[in-house]
Amino acid sequence: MGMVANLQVMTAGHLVLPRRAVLAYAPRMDKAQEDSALMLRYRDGDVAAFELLYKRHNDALYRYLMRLCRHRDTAEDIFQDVWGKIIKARDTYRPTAKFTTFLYRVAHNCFIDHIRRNKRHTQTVDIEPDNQPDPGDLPEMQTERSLARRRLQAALQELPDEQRDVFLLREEAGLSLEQIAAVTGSNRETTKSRLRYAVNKLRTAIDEPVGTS
Amino acid sequence: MTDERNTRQSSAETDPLVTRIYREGADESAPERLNRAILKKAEKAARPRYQRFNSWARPMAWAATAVLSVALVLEIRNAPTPESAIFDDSAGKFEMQETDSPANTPADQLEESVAPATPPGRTSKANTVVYPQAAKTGLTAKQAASKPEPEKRQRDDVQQNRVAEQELATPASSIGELKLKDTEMAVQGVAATSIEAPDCDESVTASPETWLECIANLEEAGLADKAGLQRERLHEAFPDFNLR
Repeated sequence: MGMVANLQVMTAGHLVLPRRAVLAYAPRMDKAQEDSALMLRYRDGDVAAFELLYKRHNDALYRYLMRLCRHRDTAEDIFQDVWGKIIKARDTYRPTAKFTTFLYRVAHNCFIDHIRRNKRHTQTVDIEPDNQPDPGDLPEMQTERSLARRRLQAALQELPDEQRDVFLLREEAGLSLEQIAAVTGSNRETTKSRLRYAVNKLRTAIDEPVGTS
Repeated sequence: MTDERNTRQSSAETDPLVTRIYREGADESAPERLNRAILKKAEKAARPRYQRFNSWARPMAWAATAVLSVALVLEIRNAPTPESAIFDDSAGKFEMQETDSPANTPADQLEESVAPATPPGRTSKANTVVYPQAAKTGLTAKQAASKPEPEKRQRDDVQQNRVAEQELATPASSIGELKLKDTEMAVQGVAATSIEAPDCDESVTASPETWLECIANLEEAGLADKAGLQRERLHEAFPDFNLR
């Protein structure tokens, strides 16, 4: 019964279950379906559904954009732009794909638009590396981890835009290769190759002996 | 099932150490001011349209109603009376003219109005003068009177010329017949005029002076009976008025 209700929510497009029914079946839904259901509820005027959806994705999207843009102000501008577009698109939203794919495709497109408008974004790096050690670790371990994080962040900023984008979509959004390919508009093999290159470079940066960085 | 396969496949492209170290450093969250701004925007967008428009729709509706009412009243006040509709012969259509200004009134029309002018908006049958041609074409007297004057004079001249030619061409005996015909035509015209002759209406009879003027006009028009009747009525209405 719950499955039938979910299918109705996912496939009917205009036909949306009453709010109470959606909530009743919510525990059985997986997260992707639930996101779509929340978006549909928001389309019907339920602001609380949007709040829930926003709280699920806002931090990950913010980190994705900040590391992708490497500039805090630009990332914040794009972040607002992305959510503005999601809000505007609520009337035409159809749950044909996972909501996360939809969200990060919008974000990716906004970032591409920003690059086209403003070429200088690649030259400015405005993110401070993380220097905060974990309080529970021994001082040597703290230093080692902190160094590893700094190397990784530095290496991430050095990656080409395409490879960084793919890596961040994998790590922040948790998308599969197919979903990343759908977001970036490339094929699966290209995406796989970019991700492999990115991971190898980052691993190499982490493994560098102390004093070489 | 598909998700599991994708995860297995993509795990080959990820490194657990890289993922762990990355996630340790990835603890930033979106600024609170951005969260507030976006949630506020979402709330505003989710409001029903009628609520969004309600703030200005009501005053707008009142303003529109007021403007329409004023426009309607002005339209009614400025609307031309049926009397002011004249026939434009050249264009073959009726045109509206202001009756208030004497400059717009055709000369013939001023001459033919025997009785004092009726107030605007009132149509008096007594004020109409019969035009034979207008009767044929179905036009009213004023429409016929509004025809261009040079054209009318030209027609009269042609008619007079024809009469003169006929008089020259016909023998003396038949000239008398023609004159008799003219006299008959004149009598018919007077008769027609007497049928449609103006009467002294209420606006005229309000004052003895204007009433007397109307009586004089009737007498001039050859309507002695009507003039006498009006004179009796005037005497009854204003017994102290000095009738001359």
